[in-house]
Amino acid sequence: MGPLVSAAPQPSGRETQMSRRLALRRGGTPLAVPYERKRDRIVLGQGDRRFEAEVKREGFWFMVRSGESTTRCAIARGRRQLWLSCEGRTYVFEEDHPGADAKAAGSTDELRAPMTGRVVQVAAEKGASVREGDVLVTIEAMKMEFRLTAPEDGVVSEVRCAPGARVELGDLLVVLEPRK
Amino acid sequence: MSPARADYAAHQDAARTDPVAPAIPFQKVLVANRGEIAVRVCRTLRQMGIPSVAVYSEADRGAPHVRAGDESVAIGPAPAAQSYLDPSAILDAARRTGAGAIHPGYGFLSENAAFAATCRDAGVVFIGPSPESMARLGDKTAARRTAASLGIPLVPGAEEVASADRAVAEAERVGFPVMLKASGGGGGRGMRVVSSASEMKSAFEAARREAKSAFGGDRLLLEKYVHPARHVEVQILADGRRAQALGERECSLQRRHQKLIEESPSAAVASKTRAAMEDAAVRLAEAAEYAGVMTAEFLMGEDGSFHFLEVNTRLQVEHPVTEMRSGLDLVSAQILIAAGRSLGSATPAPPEPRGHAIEARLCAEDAYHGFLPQTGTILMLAWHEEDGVRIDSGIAQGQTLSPDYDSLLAKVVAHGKDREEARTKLVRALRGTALLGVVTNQSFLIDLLEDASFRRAETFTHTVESREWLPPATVPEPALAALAAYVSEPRSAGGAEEDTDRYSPWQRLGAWGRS
Repeated sequence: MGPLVSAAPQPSGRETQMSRRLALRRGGTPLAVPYERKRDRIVLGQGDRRFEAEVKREGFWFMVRSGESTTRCAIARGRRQLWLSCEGRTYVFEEDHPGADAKAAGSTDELRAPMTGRVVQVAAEKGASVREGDVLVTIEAMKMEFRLTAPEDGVVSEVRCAPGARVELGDLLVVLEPRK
Repeated sequence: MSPARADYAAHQDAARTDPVAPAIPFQKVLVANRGEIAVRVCRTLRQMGIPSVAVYSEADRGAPHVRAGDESVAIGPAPAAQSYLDPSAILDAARRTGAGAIHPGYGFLSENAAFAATCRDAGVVFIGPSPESMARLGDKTAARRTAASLGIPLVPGAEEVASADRAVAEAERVGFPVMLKASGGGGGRGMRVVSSASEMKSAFEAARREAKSAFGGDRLLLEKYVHPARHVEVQILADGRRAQALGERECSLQRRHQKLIEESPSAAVASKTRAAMEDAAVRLAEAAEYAGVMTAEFLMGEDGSFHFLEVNTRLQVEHPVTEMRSGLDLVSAQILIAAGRSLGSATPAPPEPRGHAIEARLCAEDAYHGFLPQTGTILMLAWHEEDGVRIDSGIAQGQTLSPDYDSLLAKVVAHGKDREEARTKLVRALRGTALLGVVTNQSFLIDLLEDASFRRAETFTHTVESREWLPPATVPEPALAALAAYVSEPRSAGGAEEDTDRYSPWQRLGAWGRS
């Protein structure tokens, strides 16, 4: 147990039943699950759609007992995400905060690195007209080549990468102005 | 019993009457590789009482394979061409540590005949075939010619295509679709399926670049793309004079021409076909006076007919499948053969394969989104332990994965008395494993093993890529309950990262690695 005065705001009376909400995103889709906690007892859902379980921590495992069955889950927090493994399936969640979906679909297409790797070839040239499916950039990662193609017809308005450069996941590579 | 197996037994008897086995001519072995295979080779060396040397690039400083060796040497920067693929860096490390032999593992320099020759000239034993054997079988073009001279059926194609135009002409001769392959390649790299003349130019260039980057040579060959087909391969153990077949493995489940699931025996191979394939593989090895472990790969049609594909002149990734059925240690056999032992004395007993073994390759890639490679830091790692389950892993909690190397993280292998027992055991092992922090194909491997096509053993080389595989749509309730328990714990409220690092064995190391 932590000190009596905690820096993180703690709900008072942790041991009494109280209503909370899991507010996460999975693959961009919000996941909001109301739950209640009383000691080791977790109740998910509201009304008649409820799931009740006793959750105990054993090392880094969470043992979830519900009725006759026990499920083992592991959870870890990364820099930006929450990772959960359950029965060999891994689920990745982002913590939901307001404005996460504020990034509106703009009028330009941004081609971003789908993985960390090295740029092998840049076919895109500033000002060039391209057709949907044209290869714009080739990236190599883990000794495989991946070709990034134009999502639609348009004109290349910016090229932000060069052959040989190392790129990180999500780096902006090419900006495409879609054809009107 | 195949002729090859009978021969083995006779040879075994001869070995028993020979009281003096030649001494091992090297006292220390350098393992010129990384990841799970380097860990696995070091394990056998330790069991044999031979000191091992691990090598590492800057990106691998502190990786598990570095700790697996009795000593370790830095060999250069992260890009493989300047470290694991650099012959002079490897030989220099052998010289500095006094290693008398080099085990190349698979990939990197393992099928490089020039490197094997350089080792020989430098007085270092290359644990693998001679450069001459490698030249005859390891190069895909030369192997096709060797197989043709032995009357072994080939996939129609052309041994060498020097330009995209030439490739189009050859493709039109054998008929599209065709496959472009790196002559000196393996492991699915430098390979492209081309279905029309218009795709040839870019495919040709891409295959060539990949070949050059992965193998240092850019010659390509062309073959008709046969489907539906099964990938069946025969494991060979040979001592330079005689060769012995150790049964087959079926490796039809592939993505990007890289294997995902391998098993032995193949449910689709009839005993007559098995004998014919083993015979072909034995003849290939003996024709090349091959010494060491070798795999002959075949494509098998639905009618049971088979065509020679290529030879891998090295230890295969999936060798544990054969080891679990035969009880042999193929790395130990490789080392003893390299030390001059004959077949009979290199392995303890005639291996009569028993039961069924299946291997799944755990890779850092997003199987549900185009198998894109994934990097990241392993936040948590826990394996399933059970009798008959073997895990060959090259990763550890706390490790950051580099985009410079292959995505293979570990192999999970299960052995059972029959196929269904091995399958259920492997599924249990995958379900019981947790790896957090990096997206892997773990869930997809479970999908494959549970799929009706795999249960019925009706899988072909195009099975994986001809279907759409979807990630689990919903998060199961027990998982949500665990999540609720986690986020309502006071410690996790502030985003405590030490929460997960606490268990990392890396935290206990004073300094990373040794040098």
